[in-house]
Amino acid sequence: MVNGSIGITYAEIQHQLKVQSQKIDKFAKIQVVILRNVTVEPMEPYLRYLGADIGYNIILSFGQYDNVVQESMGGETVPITGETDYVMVFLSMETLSARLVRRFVEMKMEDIEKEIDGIQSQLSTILFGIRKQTDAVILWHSFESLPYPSLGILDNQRADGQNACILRLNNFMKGLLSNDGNANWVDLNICRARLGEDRYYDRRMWYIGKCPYTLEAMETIALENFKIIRALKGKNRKCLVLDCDNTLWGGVVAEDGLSGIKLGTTYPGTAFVDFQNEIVNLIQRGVIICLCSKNNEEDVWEAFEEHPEMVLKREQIACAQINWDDKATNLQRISEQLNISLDGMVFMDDSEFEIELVSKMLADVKTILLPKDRVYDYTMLLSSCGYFDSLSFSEEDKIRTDMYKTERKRQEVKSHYADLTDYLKSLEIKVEIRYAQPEYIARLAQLTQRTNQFNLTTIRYTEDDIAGMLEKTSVMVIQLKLKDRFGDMGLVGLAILMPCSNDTIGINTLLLSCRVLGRGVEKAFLHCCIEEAYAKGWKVVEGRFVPSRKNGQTKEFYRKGGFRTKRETNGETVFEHCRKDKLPGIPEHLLRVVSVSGKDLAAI
Amino acid sequence: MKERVREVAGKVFGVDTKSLDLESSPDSVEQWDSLNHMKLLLALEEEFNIQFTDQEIADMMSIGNIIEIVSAKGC
Repeated sequence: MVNGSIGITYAEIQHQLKVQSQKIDKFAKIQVVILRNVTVEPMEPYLRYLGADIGYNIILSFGQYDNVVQESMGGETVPITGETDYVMVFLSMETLSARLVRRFVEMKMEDIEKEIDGIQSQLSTILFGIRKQTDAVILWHSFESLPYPSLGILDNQRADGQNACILRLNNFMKGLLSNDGNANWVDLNICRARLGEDRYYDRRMWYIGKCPYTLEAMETIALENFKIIRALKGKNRKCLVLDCDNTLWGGVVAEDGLSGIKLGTTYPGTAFVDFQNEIVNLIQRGVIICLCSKNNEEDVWEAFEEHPEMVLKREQIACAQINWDDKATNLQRISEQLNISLDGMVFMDDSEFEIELVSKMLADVKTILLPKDRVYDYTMLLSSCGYFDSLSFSEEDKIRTDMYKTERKRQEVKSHYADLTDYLKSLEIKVEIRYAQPEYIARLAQLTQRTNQFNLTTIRYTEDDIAGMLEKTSVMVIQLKLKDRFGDMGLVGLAILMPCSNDTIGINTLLLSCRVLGRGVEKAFLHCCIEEAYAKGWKVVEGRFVPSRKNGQTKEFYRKGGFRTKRETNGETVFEHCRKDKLPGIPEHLLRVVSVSGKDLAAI
Repeated sequence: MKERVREVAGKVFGVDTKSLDLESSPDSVEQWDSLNHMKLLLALEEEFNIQFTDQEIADMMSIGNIIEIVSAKGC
């Protein structure tokens, strides 16, 4: 069900209702009474079909045509009973006041006021009449504005124009309903706007059978009513699971690289930014966002944390399954980890294969295919689905993601390792540290430009800068590569050491990509850099910490590595380490650490 | 096309397609009331992506009739 449509034909819907009638008859009943002055009976199969999808047997009883006032007052053929759960009211202005719609131009100002007064008292009579009979939920349908008012372009210039009168009546009714507490407003002007005039009105059927709407319009209206019923029954979806490549951004991050993916100020990047904005709106409405992507986890997180145009933040993701397992399995895992049932989940992907697979394997999950050639429609496909619509919005909704994340962590710790060292050991981390190789100049420059969190001085360099340093024998440019059991992360660390005085060399730059943090690699990196400096004959190594908005976590890094504070100026701290001082050491959980000398320090 | 018309009619009326023939009409099919008539023509318009004129709607008196009208629209 995408883009405001159920997705199968009207005949097929009726066929399905017939085929599944035994099953549907056993569902809990929702009794809906429809009071109307138009023909809306063709809407019935749509509503019943939608109801069955969430496990309800929606039963409609229609009041007599144009008998609304009598029925609301409790006349002889009243469809409202003690069992009624919902009352839908459809009032067409054309039937209610033919004069206001068809003979407006001849009306004087006092005629107009009198007509509006009369309509208002009818509306109140109907509402209060219904309320005398039942406490059921009321779904009241708005009046539609006129696409071609009788005064033409003049109508819009006047405060008492035809459409201004209709707006007044809509506002009057909305006011009455907001005091009711159990009534909802269904805006037919929005339904019409979604389809457009010609796809919404069927003038032919209006004159032949008093049915003003096309089949498509009735589907849209049924869906809009259903969204309210679904929300009231608590059957709206709670969790959106997203693919990454070609869903959150254009392109494949593992192939195109961080700078190659499409996300930003030019098309198609702009469309992806808007899509992400729409996702953030959902987060703030309390929807849980998860990732399910066939990818290298590090590549995805690098995009999240280092791509400047990412709107969605890593901490907004409640749970991520980024691996090469099939997506049905991964959705199941998300469901278990977050303790959200599959019928609370919606899955979006640009791959027909994945959508097909998930629909087949997990029928309870709703899926939305993002067609590759309609990137510009992604935002609309998400906002039009209505799966997450609810009738309330609280402060708690805004922090729901955090609650689910805590739940996930709990589950993870329980099911995996006794302690962190065990876990880190299980990663089988292999580090290779050596003097920078010229073929990596572009990547090294990129690291200085992109790395924020673990970056002691945050000095940005161009490729030319790096190339220049490689030519100077006095400057030590050292790179770090990392692999683990899950794959090769490539070049993720850089250190640049430059002479300060005759016997002192300073660490000008020391950084590690955030995707490898928290594994003790930084300590090993520092160890190797200092060791190499001493091997080259330097007596003292100086380190600097220059605070930035993001590198707070590195403040104590040198001190913990055995450095002493030398001086502090303007928030900047200079540390030093002498040849006789204790080296930082290599964390024991690292499987292999090949140092600049070529020796494996982890083995020692 | 003939088969599709009968199928749509069967689904809308909720009757077995086999029970409908060219002669079937509002007189012979119990479920073929004025509302189901409206639903049928809306369903046919959707099925064949066509729109009936007011005259065509007035002329639809039997399944055979409807098939003629739909086929005259080039379906």
